[in-house]
This record gives sequence, C-alpha cells and structure tokens, in this order.
Amino acid sequence: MYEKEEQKLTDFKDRLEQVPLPLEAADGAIMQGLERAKREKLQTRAKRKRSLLSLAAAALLILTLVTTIRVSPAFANAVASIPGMEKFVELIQNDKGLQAVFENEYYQPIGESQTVGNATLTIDGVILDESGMNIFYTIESAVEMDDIRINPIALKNQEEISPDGISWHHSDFEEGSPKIFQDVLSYRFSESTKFEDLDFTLALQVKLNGKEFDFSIPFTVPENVKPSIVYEMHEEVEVEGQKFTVEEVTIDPLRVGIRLTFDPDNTKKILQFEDIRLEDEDGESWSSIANGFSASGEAEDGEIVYYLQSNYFETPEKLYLRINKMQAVDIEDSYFLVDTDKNLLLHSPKDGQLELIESNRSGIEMILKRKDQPDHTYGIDKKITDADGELLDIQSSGISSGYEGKQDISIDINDNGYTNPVRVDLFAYPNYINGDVKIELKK
Amino acid sequence: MADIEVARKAIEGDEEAFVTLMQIHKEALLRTALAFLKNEHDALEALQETTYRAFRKIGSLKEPTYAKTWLIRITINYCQDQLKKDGRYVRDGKSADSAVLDDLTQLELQEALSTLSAAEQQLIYMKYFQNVKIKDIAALEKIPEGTVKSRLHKTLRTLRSHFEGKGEMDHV
Repeated sequence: MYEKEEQKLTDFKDRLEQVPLPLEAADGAIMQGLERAKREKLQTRAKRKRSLLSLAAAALLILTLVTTIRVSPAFANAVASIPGMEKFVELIQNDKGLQAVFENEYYQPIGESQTVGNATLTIDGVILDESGMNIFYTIESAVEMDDIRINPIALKNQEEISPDGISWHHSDFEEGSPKIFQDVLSYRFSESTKFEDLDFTLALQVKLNGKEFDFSIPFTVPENVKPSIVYEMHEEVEVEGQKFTVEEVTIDPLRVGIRLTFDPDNTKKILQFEDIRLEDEDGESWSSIANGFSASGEAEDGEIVYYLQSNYFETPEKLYLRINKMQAVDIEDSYFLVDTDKNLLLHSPKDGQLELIESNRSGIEMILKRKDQPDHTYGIDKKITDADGELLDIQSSGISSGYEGKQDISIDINDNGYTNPVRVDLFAYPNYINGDVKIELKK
Repeated sequence: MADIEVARKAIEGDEEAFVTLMQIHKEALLRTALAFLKNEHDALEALQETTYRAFRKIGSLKEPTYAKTWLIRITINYCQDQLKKDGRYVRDGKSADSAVLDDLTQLELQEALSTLSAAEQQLIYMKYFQNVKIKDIAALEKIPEGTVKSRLHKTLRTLRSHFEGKGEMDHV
C-alpha cells in the first residue's frame, strides 16, 4: 500500500549501510562510557564530565567520509558500463589506484559460476597484475543469509599459488538478511609473478548460516598482465642519524610496493612511517597508503615493504618518493615488560608516557599519556612473548582514541600458564623523528 | 543462543559481559546514531553516552532477547535530545553537519522524517532500519500489535503526503 514510501526508506537504509564505520574508535567510546558510568557509581553526584574525542581526529574522519562518497565521473562511467558492477563501487572507491584500473579498462570480466546446493558462486571478474590478483565475486543464496563466512582454500594455476597475503571484506548482516553477497578477494603474490598459462582455479569455502559449501571454479583470464614498472633505487637515506635504504619501488596496476632495508647499526627502531608517498614535480601527491595491506615484513628482519595506492596509469613527468615523519624509539625503548603476577611494570620507554593501571594473568590495562592529539590511532602491541620467549595468544587488544591527554590501552591475554614477565613489543609509539627525504624515481 | 546468554549475564551485572554486549551491537548503534546525527564524531559521542546510560540502567532490562532493541532505543532517545538541544535540525531538514549522508536523493526523505514526531521517527527506524518485527515493537512498548500497525500506517501516510506535496513542486 505504501510501497513507494517503504522503498524510499529501504533505499535510505541501504545508503546508510554503505557508510564505513569507525569501529576502532567505537571500542574507545564504549570503554569511555563504561569508565564514566563506573566512576559515577563510585562518586555519588560527581560532576558530570564528558570526554571529548579529539576534534582533529573527528575532522580527519569526516574528511575521509566525504572522499569516500565522491567518485570521479570517469570512474562512475567506467563502472556503469560493466553490468552488475554497481554493488562493487563501495568496495573500491577508497582506492584511487583501483578506480584508475576501471577507468583504463584493465578490469577483466569473467562470469564463471558454480552452484552447490542452494548457493551459487560467480566470479564476476578479476584484476590481475604481477603483484597479485583481485577477484570480484558474488554469492547468491536461495535462502536469506543471516551469516556468511568466507574461507579461501586455494588459488591454483598450474600449481597452487602461495600468496603473501589474502584479504577480503568482513561481511556484516547486522541489519536485514540479503540473498546476494558481493565482495573482492585480494591475493598478493609473495613475489612478482607472470603466468604463462592464464587458466586458474579458485577453491573457496563459504559458510552460510552455519552450513559449509565448497566451491571450486575454473576460470580463464582473457589477457595477460601489463608489466610492472620497477625503479631500482638502492639509495641510502639518513633521518636524525638513523639510516635506511630505499631498495626499489615497484609500480603495478593494483599497488605500489616500496621495499626498504634498515641499517643494523641504527640506535633507534623505526616503528611506523607516518608519511610516505609519491609526488610529482609540482608536489602533487600521486600515491598514498592504501587500505588493506599497508606493509609486509618487519623492520626487525631488517626489511619492510610498504604498499601504496597505485598510480600506474598516471604519467607525471617526474616522480619523487617523499618520506617525512616517522615513529621511532631507542632500541631499548621498543618494548615494555609487565609482571602480571606482581602487577608491576618492570620496563617501559624512558619518557614515561606508558603507565600501568592494573594487570593480572588474563590481561593488562594501561594508559598512554600524551601531550599531542594523535592523528591516527595505532594499536600498541606488535607481539607479546613470555619470559621463555613463547608467543602468547592475545584474545583482544584495544586502544582508545585520545582524550584528556591520554589513551586507554587494554590487552587480554589467554592464560596458558605462561612465565612472567611478559614482554610486549611496540607496534607504534608517539615518539617521532622528522626528515625530509625526497628521492627522484629514475628508470 | 550465545548473544542472549551474554545479555543475561550483563543484566546480572557482569561487567565483562556488558562490554561484550556493547561490542556485539556497536555497529548497529553507530549506524543508528549516524542516521540521526549525520556525522561520525557525534555518532561516537552517542555510542559513549549509550554505553554510559545502558550500564547504569541495564538492571531494569527484563528480557535479554530485547537487549539490542533496548540499546537502540537509548541511542535514538539520546540522538533526538541532542537534535532538539542543538536546535541544529532546522525545519527544512538540513542539518548543520552535513558531511556524511546528505546526498540529494536522501535529502527529501530526511526532510520528511524530520517532520515526524519523536515517537514516529523511532517507530519508522525500528521497523525499516532495524527490521524489528511488529510483534516485538508491541512487546517492547507494551501496547497491542494492532496499535503498532495503525501508528505505522498513519506515519507512512504522513510521509506520503509530504512527498506528494513536495513532488508537485519538483515538477513545476
């Protein structure tokens, strides 16, 4: 009777569901709300205080949202010309490199399907290059899906491809139970690969409403890859006395990879590159960190590869690699030690920004005091080991966004009878070194 | 079901279960807040406030099955209070912070929704955005199902008349 009105409401709901959510910050908000409620239960009629989220962080988030909604007309046109692509837009619109792939018709439609029981898997198309393969797929179910879990079993060419990483999107049917699910499965190859034979088979296990479906779909990619553009650099740079070498920059349609090696004699450990990008001669940024994989390897092994959004299809006259701000701490400050039996912080970075609130065998609560407002919220822990060097199982680990000059940290450990003290290696820490690295990329 | 068990424990005062409960529903709550407040910063504030209010009042929740709906109601109430307080949701339906959701196709609907009463907005949101069954809305509000249906009917009629009035103008 009110179909039109209902349709409008449903459209708005769908639109709303496309907005990416700040889930990491959400955990922080929950913890802050809880702390506030607990505090007030203790101090009756205490003056109500509200912890404000960092305005800078909020501005950043809103900016991100705006950019996610606006897509270039060229991209919109390119996508509109491929049947069934509309739904994929939200999955690729965050990545300028992927948009360019569509604008340059580098996406290859496939259209192979297989039906198992009441579920059908279709490989809509792929983007293949020497760095990896993005597989666009659709799962249709005869029954409404309440829950879907994807488990990529194998991607085979003449033999099985062992990827460096696979990513896909988390499916969330919090609201509604659709019959169609679309996603992109992104394989990153462990080394640059060019296949002779373009026949592949994707084995994918789908758990739908708790029931398992095993698919195995052979497909042929119509055209072979565009070659990587490799800039051999091997240029050593120094930032505040710390040395690292830019080994090479590899540009593929799907991503830009920047391989760096670190000088073993460095007195500091570089934790995060906060600002790494490619720029043209006018200082315009062409490539910045992409969603999904941002790095592989560890600075600890002396090598790391950073991945940026691709600028493969752009042709600026000159291209520069720029690296400015990075997080770095003295080697001895790159971890902290907690005795969870005695509830003691035994060692932590000497600037004293980390403070232990409480610990026991199943978890650690800390705060990170900071003067600045964080631009990004990084997790604190990279890995946790016990006194015997055994890797501990982390049940959950969270950090709030900054408020009142601090961030709350909460780490839950699975108590398997580990030996104290536990050592937490830092993933990130707000201590910076600043440089102004500018290296031209030359063929 | 595991979720109900979590809710039951949370109602009994188990703090860990309460946090889990909030984490299970955080996505739904954030979307709810976004639908009303239209920007991420305010939505996170709303989630914090919802956590705060829920933790203090969870003892009053009788039925663990309704935990999610109960939380969403807290969020909506907070959002509606905020909008009233800020006075920033002016009658033409444009909010001051229009960063997130105001593309053109949605503006008209948002405008129409803003003319509804708080209770009507809540009803529409529960039914169409959260797919809550009429039976459950009735149970939660402690009113007969028939009453829910007729309220829904009336609300949709209000929306229609708004669209029709608007529609004519658009075609001039």
